[in-house]
Amino acid sequence: MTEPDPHTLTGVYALDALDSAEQARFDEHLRGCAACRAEVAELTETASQLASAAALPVSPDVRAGVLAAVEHVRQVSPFPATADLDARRSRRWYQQPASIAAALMLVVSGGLGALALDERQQARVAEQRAARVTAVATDPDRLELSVPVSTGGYGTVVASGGSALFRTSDVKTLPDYQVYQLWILRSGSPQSAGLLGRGGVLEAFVDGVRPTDALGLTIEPEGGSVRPTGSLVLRVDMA
Amino acid sequence: MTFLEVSDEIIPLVAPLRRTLRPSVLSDEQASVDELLNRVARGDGPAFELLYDRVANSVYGVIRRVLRDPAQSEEVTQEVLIEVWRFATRFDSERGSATTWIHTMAHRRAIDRVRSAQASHDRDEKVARRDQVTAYDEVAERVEARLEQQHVRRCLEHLTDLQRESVTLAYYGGYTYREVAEILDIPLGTVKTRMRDGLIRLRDCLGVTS
Ligand SMILES: [Zn+2]
Repeated sequence: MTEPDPHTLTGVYALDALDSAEQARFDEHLRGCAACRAEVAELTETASQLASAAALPVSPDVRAGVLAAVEHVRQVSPFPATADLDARRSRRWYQQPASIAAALMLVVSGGLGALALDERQQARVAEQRAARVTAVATDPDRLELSVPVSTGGYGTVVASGGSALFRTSDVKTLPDYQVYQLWILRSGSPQSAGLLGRGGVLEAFVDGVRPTDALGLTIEPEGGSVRPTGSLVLRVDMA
Repeated sequence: MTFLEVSDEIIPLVAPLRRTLRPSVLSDEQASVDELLNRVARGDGPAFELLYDRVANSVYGVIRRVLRDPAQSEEVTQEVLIEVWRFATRFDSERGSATTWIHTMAHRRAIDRVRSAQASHDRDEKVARRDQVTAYDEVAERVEARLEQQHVRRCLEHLTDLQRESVTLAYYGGYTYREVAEILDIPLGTVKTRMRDGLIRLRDCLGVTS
């Protein structure tokens, strides 16, 4: 199939009718194409009137729920949150390798050399971490599981001795107000295992996993959540 | 999972009709959605309540169109409106109106929900959804007939059948344009053009200026 002319996709885009990969490509196109940006803006205003036309009375319970909730919800800063930067930094150790084995090689060898001097402390942490990652991936009794992500693709977990390597295939790109968040699902108290980004190959190294736990991946508002609020798109039981 | 709380308060179900802006100092009633959102971005709780009353019905309506299930739609509506509060600080009026920003968020949330839920379903299900898109139109018509809605409906009637079906299957049905092509049994290129031409005709009829 030949690549379609992107300029003709403005209407489809305004109706949110592209699949996630195509939408990501068109977002990229929009960055460099002022004509499409202008047309998309107009057509999106038009599509928005289709929402106005669909208005229906919503239950007062929703109003009460929303107004009660926002009293406890902090607004994000007007600029991209530092949480995003932290998430990017923690992902550096495993950037887009072709396999878990490749990820390990990157972490163990080349990954550390590229660091600036002021990141020496982080490098030490990374070295310790690399040793633990190696221990997991080379344990003959390690657990290896692959399960589908409900929005497409799959996630793989390699676990041993309370530590787990988590890696997905190329997953659906989220809009810029959302993020994938990984959780240790323990009955009664899910614990965040970090923000993994908005799409692509997601990776994490998780410590303190018990055999009775599960790992869960949810879609959360940008900046992440204290406990899971979005839909669970993947769940892997460690037992 | 829900954090709904029951309220005994009596709240009017129908949002006030949109007012025309005047250049003088505006009362809360007259403030535009854009002005309200700017106040919300500064942490103004009372402005958020006013904003809620302006947009909640259309947010719920569009989510309900896509998801159809009332309980799930209420849940997503709640999530979206909390996000409006959280992310009001990031709204950029250069890129479009506040109403559009909110509607886009709502529509995309509903689409995400329906696509993840529908990922494993087959074509029969798609056809069933298509029929329900039409059936729901009639229900909505009985429930409410606001002027604005009538205007949009009249304009939709000015589209060709193929334009209208393509636009509504995508926007209200939540289908990708590939699925729309499959449902209507027409080439992908045709669907792309029909969606774009349909929206342009709708824009001209509605008099949208951006
Ligand atoms: Zn273009």
